[in-house]
Amino acid sequence: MALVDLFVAFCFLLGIGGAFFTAFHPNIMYAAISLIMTLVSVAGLYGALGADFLAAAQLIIYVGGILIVILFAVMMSQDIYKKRFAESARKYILPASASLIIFLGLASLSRKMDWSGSTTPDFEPTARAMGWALVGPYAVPFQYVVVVLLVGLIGAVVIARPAIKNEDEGADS
Amino acid sequence: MLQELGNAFAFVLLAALLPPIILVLGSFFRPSFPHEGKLTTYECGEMPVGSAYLMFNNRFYLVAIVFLVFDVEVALLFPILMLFREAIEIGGSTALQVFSLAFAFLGVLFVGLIYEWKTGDIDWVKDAVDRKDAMLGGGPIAKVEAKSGENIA
Amino acid sequence: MSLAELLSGVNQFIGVGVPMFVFSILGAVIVILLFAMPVGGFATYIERKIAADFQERIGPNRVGPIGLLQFFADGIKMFLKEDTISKNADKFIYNFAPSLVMAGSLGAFAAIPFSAYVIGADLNIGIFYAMALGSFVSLGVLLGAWSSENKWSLLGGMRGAAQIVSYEIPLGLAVLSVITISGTMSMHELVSQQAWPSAAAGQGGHFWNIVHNPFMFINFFIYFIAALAECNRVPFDLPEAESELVSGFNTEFSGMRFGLYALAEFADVILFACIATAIFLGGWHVPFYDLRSLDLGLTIGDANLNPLIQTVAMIGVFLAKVSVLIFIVMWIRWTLPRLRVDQLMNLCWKYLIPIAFFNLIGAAVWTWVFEGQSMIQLIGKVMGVL
Repeated sequence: MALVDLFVAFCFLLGIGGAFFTAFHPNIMYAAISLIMTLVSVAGLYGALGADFLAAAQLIIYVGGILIVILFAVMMSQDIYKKRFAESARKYILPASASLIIFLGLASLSRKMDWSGSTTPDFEPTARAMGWALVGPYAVPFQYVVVVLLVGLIGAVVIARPAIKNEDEGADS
Repeated sequence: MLQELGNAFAFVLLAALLPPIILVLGSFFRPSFPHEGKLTTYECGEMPVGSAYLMFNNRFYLVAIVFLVFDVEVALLFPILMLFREAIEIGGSTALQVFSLAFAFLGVLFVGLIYEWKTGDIDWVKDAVDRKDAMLGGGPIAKVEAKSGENIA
Repeated sequence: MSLAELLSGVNQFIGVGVPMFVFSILGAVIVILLFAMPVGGFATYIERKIAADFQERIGPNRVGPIGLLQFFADGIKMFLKEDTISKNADKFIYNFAPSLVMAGSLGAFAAIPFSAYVIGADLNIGIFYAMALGSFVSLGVLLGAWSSENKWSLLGGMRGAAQIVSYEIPLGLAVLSVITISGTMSMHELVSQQAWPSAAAGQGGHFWNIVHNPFMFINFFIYFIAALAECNRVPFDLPEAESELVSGFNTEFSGMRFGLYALAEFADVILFACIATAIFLGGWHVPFYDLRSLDLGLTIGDANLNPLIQTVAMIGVFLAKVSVLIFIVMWIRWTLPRLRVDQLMNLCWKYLIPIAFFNLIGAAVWTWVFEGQSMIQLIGKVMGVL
């Protein structure tokens, strides 16, 4: 078994384990930490598939950005450490059946594919191709992304504004 | 290219495994005499008062969200600006296309930053009273919050 | 050519086919354990000596000749100290956080081009990879502070995470301007292009990026300031805050754990100095001469020793430049006072980011108008030399 295959298997197990703990661990801080495992293993999978730029972008954006936001949110919630997040078994039925259907669909799809003779190809660097794609065929969705980012930026600061003290309102309750 | 990624991974793995190895190695040599004083949280020599978890101002969260948006922007600009020189060699119109797209991207988010600057949202210390003027006459959200009489600054 | 490939050349001599991953790990061991960690430890001694010089005293001079073995003694002391964990601390995260910080600072040494023939991993996305690993450091600081179960650590950690995270943007924008004028993200390419300009076609390059155009000159200082903030060095050391928050986010870490954090912080300084040298100060290039054409004609048997001599010369030049930058970092530490946290945030969002943004536009316009030529190349063309 090639070393790459071992690495992919390791990333796979780390990702599934991380996702499992993120969803089910009663301590919310440990759930957030398990998310690190999942995201790093996804970056590893991207690397093993030859998408070098995407692996590094995953680390920068997800681990360095989104995880910080999630951890800040967890740390700022009041009394969140005293809560034990354990759901009743009844709440698992609908998500479990949805996951099972998706799994069966993906499994039947993978059965139809031809897995024989798959060797690791000699990968090309991807960053330049991504750059040409972003200014060429995908330029318009790229600019839509800009607008979405701007909306997120302004929306976050608007929600976080402190209340305006209206002096001529006095004791109004 | 996988070989180079594997080299990089070897570096990261070695660096991540170094602290546990050093600490486990040291545990064979270190003394261990636990004592109540040593196990208490350090608060300049006094007994710790109150919970160790503070209520934080939401300015930290806001900085994290603004950082996230700009981080995505920087990460997406890397592949585009990488091919700027190549685009110059290809021809003028390709270079103009790359330049305008990249700086439209950067410029839109920069305008967002200027807006936040002007309304005082990226100040570390926000003053609730002065901000009434900054909100262009006070939108409907502000009026609803002020009417309830509660100050949640 | 990566270090692992270089080491695998020994396969020819042994005759046994050792698998490649052994050489990858060997390369990592050489760079991390034989360069980053000893230099980081030795730099603590140098810092104390320099601090003593600035403060008109002598500094450590007892252990070994002129105190040279001081860092060794410090290391042994920290190694043998008792490891106290407060009883309320979250043990798993407490143990996990130093690994994140170390992975972030030491792992990025893979991308540093020490010479034309020695680089840990010759990645096509070299500088992007170094930035990606820098984002682990903020996580490690935050989690370490939180798990210590100490209000002041938590405050220091939150401020530290907010600071590290904010200053990644000007850092990224300064690096983006370098990529714009060079057209590549690979560290090896970035350094190769900073050769002394030569009239022969296909040889030489634009000279060091810092003198490429005026915008790059300013960007070097933006990069330097942002790197100081990333490493939690004065004037941005509020997360550590030696006189305010006890010791900030690493209050509850004692003995070797503290040693790991201190080492990771210093390795971070060395890392940013190495990256600044590579992308702004021309890496292993010297003015007026291309070290790749150094030819002393020495041979052992029928093996040409030139690559070895060139590598030694290049590594020497690189480390000399890195040492100058580290000296400047230490100089600033013992000179300037600390910034307040709102001044810190204002500096980043209201000053550095707009300046970096306009510099990026300026660098892009310069590249377009002059087709990527630097000021030195233009002067050479005007003088008729190039």
